[in-house]
Amino acid sequence: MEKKSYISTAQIVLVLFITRLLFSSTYMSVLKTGNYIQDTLFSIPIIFIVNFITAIPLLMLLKRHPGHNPVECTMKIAGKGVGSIVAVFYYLFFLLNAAVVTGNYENYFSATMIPDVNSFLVGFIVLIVCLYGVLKGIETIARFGSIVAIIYMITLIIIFISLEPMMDLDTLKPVFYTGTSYLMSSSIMNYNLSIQILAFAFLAPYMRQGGSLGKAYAGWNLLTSIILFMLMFYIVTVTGSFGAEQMYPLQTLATLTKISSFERLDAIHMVSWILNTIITITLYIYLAISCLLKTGLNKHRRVLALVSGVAVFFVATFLSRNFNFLQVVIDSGEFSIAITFFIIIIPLIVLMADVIKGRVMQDAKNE
Amino acid sequence: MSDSSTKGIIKYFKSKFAAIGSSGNNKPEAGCTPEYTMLKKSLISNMTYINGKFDGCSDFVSKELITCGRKAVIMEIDNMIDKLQLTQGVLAPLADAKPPVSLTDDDAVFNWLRDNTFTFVDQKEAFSYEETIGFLMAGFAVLLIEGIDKAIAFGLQGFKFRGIDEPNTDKSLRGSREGFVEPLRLNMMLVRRRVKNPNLKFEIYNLGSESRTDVCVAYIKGTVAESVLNEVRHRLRTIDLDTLLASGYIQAFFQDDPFSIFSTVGTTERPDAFCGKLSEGRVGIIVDNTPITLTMPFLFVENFQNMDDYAVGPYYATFTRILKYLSFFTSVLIPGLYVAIGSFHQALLPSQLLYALAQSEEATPFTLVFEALFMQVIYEMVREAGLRLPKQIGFAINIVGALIIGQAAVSAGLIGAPMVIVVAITATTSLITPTLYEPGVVMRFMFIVLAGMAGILGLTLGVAFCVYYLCSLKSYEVPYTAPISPFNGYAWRDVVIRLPWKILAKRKIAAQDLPGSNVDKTIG
Repeated sequence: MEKKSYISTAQIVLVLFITRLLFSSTYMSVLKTGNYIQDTLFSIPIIFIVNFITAIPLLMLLKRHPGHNPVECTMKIAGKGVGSIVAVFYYLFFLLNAAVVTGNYENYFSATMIPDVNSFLVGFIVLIVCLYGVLKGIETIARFGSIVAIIYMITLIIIFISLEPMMDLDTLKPVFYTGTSYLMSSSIMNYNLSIQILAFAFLAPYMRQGGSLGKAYAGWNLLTSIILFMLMFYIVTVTGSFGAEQMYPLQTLATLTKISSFERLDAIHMVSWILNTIITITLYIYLAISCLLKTGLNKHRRVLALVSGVAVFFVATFLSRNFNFLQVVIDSGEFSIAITFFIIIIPLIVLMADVIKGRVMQDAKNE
Repeated sequence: MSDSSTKGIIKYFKSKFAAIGSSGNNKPEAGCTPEYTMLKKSLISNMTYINGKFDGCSDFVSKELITCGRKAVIMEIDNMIDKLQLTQGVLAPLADAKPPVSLTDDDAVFNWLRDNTFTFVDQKEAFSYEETIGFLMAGFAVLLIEGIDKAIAFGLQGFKFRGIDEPNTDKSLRGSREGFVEPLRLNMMLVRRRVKNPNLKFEIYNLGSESRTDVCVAYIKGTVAESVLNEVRHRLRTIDLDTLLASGYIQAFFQDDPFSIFSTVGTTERPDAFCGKLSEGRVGIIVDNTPITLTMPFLFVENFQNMDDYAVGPYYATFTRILKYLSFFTSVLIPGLYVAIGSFHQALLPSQLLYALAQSEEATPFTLVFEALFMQVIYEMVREAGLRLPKQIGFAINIVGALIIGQAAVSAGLIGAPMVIVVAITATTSLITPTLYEPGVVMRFMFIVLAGMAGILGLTLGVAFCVYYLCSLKSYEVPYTAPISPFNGYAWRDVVIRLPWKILAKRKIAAQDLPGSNVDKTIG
C-alpha cells in the first residue's frame, strides 16, 4: 500500500489549473460560432461563478470529513457496499475522461503532426509514460505538475507577447448579435470540462495540514478563469472567425508566433502541450485507481494501473477514430447531466445522508 | 586423569560440536564489535602470537630491548612511523628509564613508565591482540614489556602522503586552494580548521573485514536532523565489504535507490564545500585513503552550486548559475533537438538556416540520428582515452581525436559540419557541471534515439519520463527536486539566483527544512 503522502496547496492548485487548460480551446469548433466567437468570452465569468456553486456540496462534505475523499466519505456514511458502488462509478468516470484526453491527443498528432503514424501507437507510447507516473505516486505527480505548469505558463507568455501586435480589437464587436445561444453553448462546454472540481475533492485528503480547502479552491478557480479568459481573448482577437473553425486554435496561435527570424513556434507549444497531456492523463488514471483502492484492492495497485491503462488505451483508440463523436460528447447536454450527477448529485445525496444520520444520532443521544 | 583435565576435554569437544553447522556464520555481522583476545603477561607468548599474525609481512619490524631490568619489544610497521621521533621520544627514554627502587611490582613499574617517561599526547593502551594489531596498522609504534599484559601505543605516524594541494575536480578562482588528501586525520584537521566549534563531531567507524578502513562520520550537533544521522549510522553499520579502498565503494550504500542514474549522495574534494554542507544540516563521510568525501542529503540543485558562487558578487554569481543550468539542458537536449528538428520539424528553422543545414547534410550518407550517435560515441571514446593516458599522450590523443572528428570526417563527407558543431557544443557545456556528466551522457543518448524515432514527440516523452523520475527521487526523505518542486520561494535565493550575503545570512535553511521533506525535524 502506498505510504500516505502529502502535497502542498500550491501544488494542488497548479496541477488542477494546468489540467483544466488542456483542451479548453479544442472544442470551440463544435460551437460553430463563426463570426460571433467573441460571445464565448463571457462564458468564462459565468463559469467562474458556476464553479463555486457546483462545488458547494463537495466542499461541505469534505469539510465535515476532513482528510477523506468523496468515496471514503460515502463509505463512512453509507457503508462499504454503497461506497464501493460509488467508487466504481467514479473510477469509470475518471477513466472515461482519461480516455477522452488520450483520444484527443491521438487525433491531434495523427491529424496535425505526424499523419503517417497510427494514432493508437501515439496513445500507446504516451500511456506508458503516464502509467510510470501513476505508479510513482501523488507526490511525484504533484511535483511534475508544478514543473509543467511553469513550462506551460512560460510558453503562453511567449505566445501572448509575440502575438500582441497581431491583436485586432475590432473582432470583439458586436456582442450578442445573435442572442445568447453561443454564450449558453460555450458555458455548457466549459461546464462539461470542469472535471477538476471533482479532482480537487479527491486530492483534498493529500493536502498538507494547515491548508484551507476553500482558499485552495478559490485560488484554483480564479487562476484558471483569468488564464482561460486571456487565452480565449487572444484566440478571438488574433484569429477571429478563422479561429472559430479551428480544431486546435491554440496550436494555430502558436503557428502564428514569431520571434526574430524564428517562425512557427508551434513546436514549443507542442512540447508544453504534450507535457500537459501527460500530467492530465496521469492524474485522471491515478484518481481513478485511488477510488478502487478504497474498496479493498489496495494490494493490487500495480495490476489496477495496468488494467486501467489498457482500458484507457482501447477506449481512446475508439474515440480518436470517431472524433466527431468525441467532440459532440463534450459539448452535449447529456455529458452535462453526467457531470452534474458526479459533481453535485452524488455528493449532495451523501451530504444529506450524513446530516440526517447526524441528527438521528444526536436525537438518540438526547433521548 | 584429573578433574580439570577431564573438564578441559569435555569443554573442547563441546566447543567443537557447537562449531558444527555454524561454519557459514563465522563472519561477524558487519559493524559489530569483534571478540578480543587479551594480551598475556609472557612477552614470548605475545610475540609468538603477533609474529604468527605478521608472518610473511616484511614491513613488520620489531626490536628487543631491556628497560627497567625487564625485556621489552618495540614494534612498528616500516615507513609508517617517524623514526626520529621513535628514537628520541621512545627508545632513548626507555634506555635511560630508572624507576624508583620502591617500585617492584610489574604493574607499578609499567604505570611509572607510562606516566613519567614518555611525553606524547597521542599515547594509548592496548589490552588485546586485536587492539595491538589495529594500532600497528594505524601507524602506531607499540611497546610490550615482559610481565605486563597490556601494551603502550605511541602515535608516531610519519608515513609519506600527497601534499595538500588544489583539488582537481572542483577548482575555485577565489576560494581556498586546499583539497582533501588521503590520510583521514589530516582531512579531519582540514574540516576542524574551518569549523572551530566543539559542536562539530567526528565519529570513527571501521569498515572492511580485510582492509579495516577507517570511516569518519562528521556532522554539526544542533544543526543536523537526528533521523538523518541515525539513518546514516544504520546504513554504515550494515555495509558488508571485504575491502574498502575508495569512498565510491560505499557511496551506493547511502543512496536510497542504488540503480538511480542521478546520485542522491554528494561528493566533494573541497574542505570548504564540505563544511558548507555540514552547516546546512547535512551529514558528511570521510573515508581513509580517499580525498573524495560524501555528503547527504544531496539535491539536484546542488549540482549547480560551487564555492565560487559565494565568493563573487551576486550579479555575476547569478549569471554563472543561470549559465550552468542552461549548459546542462543544452548538453542534454541539443543533440536530440537537432535530430528532431532536422528529421521531422524543418519548418521550425528560418529558411536561410534551413538551406545551410540541408546543403551540408545532403552530401552525407547517414541519417541524422546515426550521425549523432556515432559522433557521441567517438567523442566518449576519445575522452576516455585522454583521461587514462599520461598527460602528454592524452593531450595528443585529444588533438588527434578532434582532428579526426572535426576535419577529416567532414572533409570525407561522412559527417555534416553542423553535427560537429553540435557535438562540440555538447562536449563543452557538459563539462560545466561535472557532477551531472554521467547522468547527462545517459540522457543524451536516450534523447537522441527518441528524437530519431518520433521527433519532438519522442523527445518530449523522454523529457517527461526523466522529469517524472527526478520528481520521484528522494534523498533521506528530502525531495530531490526541492526547492524547485516542491517550490519554496525563500530557498530560491540560492538556487538559480544568488542573493547578496546580507540576505543569505539572515536565515539558514537546512536540508530538512525544505518543502516536501518528511524528515523528522528533531535536531541532533
